[in-house]
Amino acid sequence: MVGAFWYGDIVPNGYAFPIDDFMTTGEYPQWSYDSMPQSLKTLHTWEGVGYGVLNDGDGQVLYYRRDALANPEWRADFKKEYGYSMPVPPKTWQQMLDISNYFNGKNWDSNDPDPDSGTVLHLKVGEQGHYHFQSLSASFAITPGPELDQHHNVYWFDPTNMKPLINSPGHVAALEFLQELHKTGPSAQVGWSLGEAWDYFLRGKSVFVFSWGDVGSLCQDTSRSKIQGVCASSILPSSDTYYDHKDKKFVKTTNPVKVGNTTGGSWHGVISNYSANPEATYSLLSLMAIKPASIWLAQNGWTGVDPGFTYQFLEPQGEAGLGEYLDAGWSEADVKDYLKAYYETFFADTFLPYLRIPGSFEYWDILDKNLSATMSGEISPKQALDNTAKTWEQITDRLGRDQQLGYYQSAIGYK
Amino acid sequence: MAEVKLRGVKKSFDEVEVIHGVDLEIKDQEFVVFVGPSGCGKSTLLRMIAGLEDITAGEIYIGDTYVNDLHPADRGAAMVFQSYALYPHMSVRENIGFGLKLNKVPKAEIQRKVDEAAKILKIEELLDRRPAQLSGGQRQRVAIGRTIVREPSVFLFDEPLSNLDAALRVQMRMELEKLHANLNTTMIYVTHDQVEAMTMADRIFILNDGYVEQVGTPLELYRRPANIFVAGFIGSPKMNFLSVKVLEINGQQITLQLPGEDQMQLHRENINFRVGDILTLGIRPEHFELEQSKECFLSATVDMIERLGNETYIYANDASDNLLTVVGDGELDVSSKEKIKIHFTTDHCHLFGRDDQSIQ
Amino acid sequence: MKTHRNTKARFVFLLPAAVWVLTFTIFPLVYSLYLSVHKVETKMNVSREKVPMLDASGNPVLDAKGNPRTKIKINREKISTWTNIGFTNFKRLAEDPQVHSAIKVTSIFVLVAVPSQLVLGILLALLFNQRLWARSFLRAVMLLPIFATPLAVGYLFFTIFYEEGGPLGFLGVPFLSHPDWALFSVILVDIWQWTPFCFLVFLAALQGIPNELMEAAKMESKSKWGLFANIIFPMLTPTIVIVLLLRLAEAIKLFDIPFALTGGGPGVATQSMSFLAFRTGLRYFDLGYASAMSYCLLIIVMIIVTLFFRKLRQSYA
Ligand SMILES: Nc1ncnc2c1ncn2[C@@H]1O[C@H](COP(=O)(O)OP(=O)(O)OP(=O)(O)O)[C@@H](O)[C@H]1O
Ligand SMILES: [Mg+2]
Repeated sequence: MVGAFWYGDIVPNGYAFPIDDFMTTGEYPQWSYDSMPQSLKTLHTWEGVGYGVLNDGDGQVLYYRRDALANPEWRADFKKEYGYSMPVPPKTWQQMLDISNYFNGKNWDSNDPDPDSGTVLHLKVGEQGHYHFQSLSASFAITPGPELDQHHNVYWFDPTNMKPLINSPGHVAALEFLQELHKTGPSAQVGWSLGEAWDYFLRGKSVFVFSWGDVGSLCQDTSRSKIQGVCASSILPSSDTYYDHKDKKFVKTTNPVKVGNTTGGSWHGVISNYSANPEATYSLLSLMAIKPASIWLAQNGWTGVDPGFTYQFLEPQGEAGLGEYLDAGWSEADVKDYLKAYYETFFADTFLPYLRIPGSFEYWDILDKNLSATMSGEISPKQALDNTAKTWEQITDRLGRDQQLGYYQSAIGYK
Repeated sequence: MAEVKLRGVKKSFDEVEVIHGVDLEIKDQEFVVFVGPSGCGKSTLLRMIAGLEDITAGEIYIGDTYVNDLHPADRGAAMVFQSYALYPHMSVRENIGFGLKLNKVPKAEIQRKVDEAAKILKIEELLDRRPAQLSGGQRQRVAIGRTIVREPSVFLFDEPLSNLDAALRVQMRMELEKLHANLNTTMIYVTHDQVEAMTMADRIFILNDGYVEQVGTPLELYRRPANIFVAGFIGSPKMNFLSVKVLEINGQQITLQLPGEDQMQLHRENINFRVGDILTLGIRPEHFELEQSKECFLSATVDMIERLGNETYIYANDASDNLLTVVGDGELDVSSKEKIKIHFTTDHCHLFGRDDQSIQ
Repeated sequence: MKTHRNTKARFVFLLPAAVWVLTFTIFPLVYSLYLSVHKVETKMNVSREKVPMLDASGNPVLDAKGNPRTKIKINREKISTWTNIGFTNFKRLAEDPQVHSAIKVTSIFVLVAVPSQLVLGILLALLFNQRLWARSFLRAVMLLPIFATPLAVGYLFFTIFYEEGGPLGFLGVPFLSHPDWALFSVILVDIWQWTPFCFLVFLAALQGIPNELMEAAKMESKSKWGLFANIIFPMLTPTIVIVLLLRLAEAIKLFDIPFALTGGGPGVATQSMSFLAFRTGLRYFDLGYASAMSYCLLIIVMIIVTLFFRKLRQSYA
């Protein structure tokens, strides 16, 4: 099992076994990259060659409490306070922050007598904190455009020279925003990883969480969740302001584009070149990839496998029937939202590019530590991202700028 | 300088009482020895005086002060331990001056007192050494030095010589006596060695099983032991004991049946027994004689002879196979299996009743 | 003749130990030093060939039509290029803010945790050296932390320090979410885990002080502090030095508690030197740099140990 961000470390060094030949023999359980959105397919291949066997598709969506946002009393009160009516789901991050702020500290959930929160985050260092930042900042820091070029649709580095973009004003604004959002949740979440944050949401303690598909299916597990049926989801909001890398200024928009993401590892099987029996390995991996196994995995939260493939989506976008999910114990309202949210996330026109170059983990880890230092109040957002950019330059120089640039360009499809 | 008084002192460890109500008075400047067999409670008694053991019942006075509740350091007593208990990380000088230093005595005075004590004990050249670099005898002197500088009103010694070899022990014994003469302080000395007790003590307290059996000067105890225990404990070799039957009581004149056919007559004022009673007769080995014929005698068979040069120990069985010890002079002409007659005088006879108490 | 045979025999008997030391101590040391002054790039040239598929007893496996099946055999050729980069990695150490922060974290940890453990250990030992109600029971309870695995302790305290509804949640203390508190929490856990060890050793040392010695001292002064400072403490000193040494060497290597409790965070607030070296070597696969870090750590430990042993030898002399 590898994360998509490993590719840059394992494929160029000759550790991964290409599987295109196996896929065409017809001797193994049959699955196809065509069942994946393009965004995920990219993560399973390297320079046009297939290596990864379908398993899990990662991406973050927004989960919110349908009941709280629909409650007429809260809605009226919100309108009085903020001057506009509460959009469901929020279209922009800024709206979401308002809503989160509004609910934070009020006891809007009746599962316990204590006040509840707005948004819960998993910010523990060395775990999944930086993923939050990636998916959130995408719509702040990416300049949308029809093509990917030096200034448009790029996020990590300048594709002409590998200069980090991570400390661009858009990124900094996003991190400042994340700090604001953090204030609408429990302060302990600076030390929380997935389990603690998810559990908080599942116990009905927060209105929002934005995270992986696991949350959607865990909502349905009534042994852990108190919110089955009110666990709504949508594609992540977008920022109403983004940074234009070309004109070097912020642009405000009333109708921001939706930005998709494949944030996470999209963990899946890649056969090692050390394998004594690649055939047997492939056979097992593809058995897990075909529809019956895959859909079962996606329907059950504890497996950590999230939906992303056509046969997991509902008709007409996909091939799955609603009945299959209802039989598996899902709430109808929840599952419809959920699959729609993932569909939009994976098929969006504008996309957070995925960092797949040698050293991806190290780049991310540095980012992660600096983010964590910011969230715990040690350093400012600007400082954190400047530090990150500085260290990234050192990593790039150490690993070889030209080599890194080449891999980066091919990873994001820069020509 | 002080006297020490104990009134009804008892000590129990958990449920077990080991000192059963001791009353005693030690006079100022007196050198007394607590002696008794191992486990009889000598150390416990001493440690109660020192303040190292709680007092279960009774009262202890040092001088006129009731000390039951006083901290050991406040009692004016200083103690020399069997193991010397020197502080291994301090030099001899520091060891001796330690108590003074902690009690904030000025440095110059400490120095002076330490030097003085070292001179008395002849350890001046050892002052800069560590205890580990000293011999047993030297350590002993340091331990004593440590007590001297504190100028206590009572010195307490718990078997201070038992870790020394015989020759050194004799020497130290004399030095302690001299020390006592010089310092003129009350000293309480614990030992299980009756020779130490006899030679050093002004008075001896004989303890047995948590009771004081008898108190007296060494010669009093030797001459007039109050009971069989004391009679057997004091004197070396040990006193011989014979079972004797009262044959006839004629006023204060009694006739006793000795083992075998022999009989003897004895004068006693205190007739608290009847004809036919079995009593115990005690005679010290040094009061037996083989050659000169005295008023009384016993028939016996020599079993073993030990020749020490200046004297000879003869072990002989009487008619009831009771082993008797006879001390004779070094040249004594006697051989094993020989039938002998053991002579003695009535003056040297100790008679004990059925309650083990001496009959006068 | 005879001595000659003796040397040979001695050599034979020493051989296993020597091999052991060479393999597991000297070799890694030399290897990591070598690693730290090189840049290693590993590439693999891979080729594939089709070979007949054989079953367990070596007979060809046939497909449905009865033709022999083939399988893919992967031939690998691993090419490692070692480029000497001199002391680049050590220079990086000097400039790397993460290293500076890790040194700071490690130093604060060592300077707070170790003395606390020693002081608490001595105090507890003094307490337990007296007559005490339910002494053996309490002593057994006191020693329990020694038997816990550090990693498990980290996870255990993660739940204890849980700020939302954990057992200490009512204190409102940001145990793990505030940088300073997080370091404090790590220190606290280490104290919890290691004080019993210090306590145990000191208790043994205290009980090794002859009773008569203490009594002799007690007869000379009623100042408890005086006795402690002049008798107990000096007599404990050799033990204290040893315990201090053991604890220092161990504490400088701090790893498992942050690993399990804080992940080195928030930010890098609890990222120790070992933790950083671990991440660098086994997460970034920058083995050369990680070796340089470990060497740096090793040198620090060696300096401390040497100083201590010198001091120790002096105090024994
Ligand atoms: N701490 C203690 N706990 C329980 N019993 C004790 C303790 N100390 C002494 N004893 C008991 O008290 C009795 C008297 O002991 P003590 O040490 O006073 O004997 P001693 O006369 O000094 O003997 P020795 O000549 O062997 O030193 C003994 O039976 C001993 O077992
Ligand atoms: Mg004794």
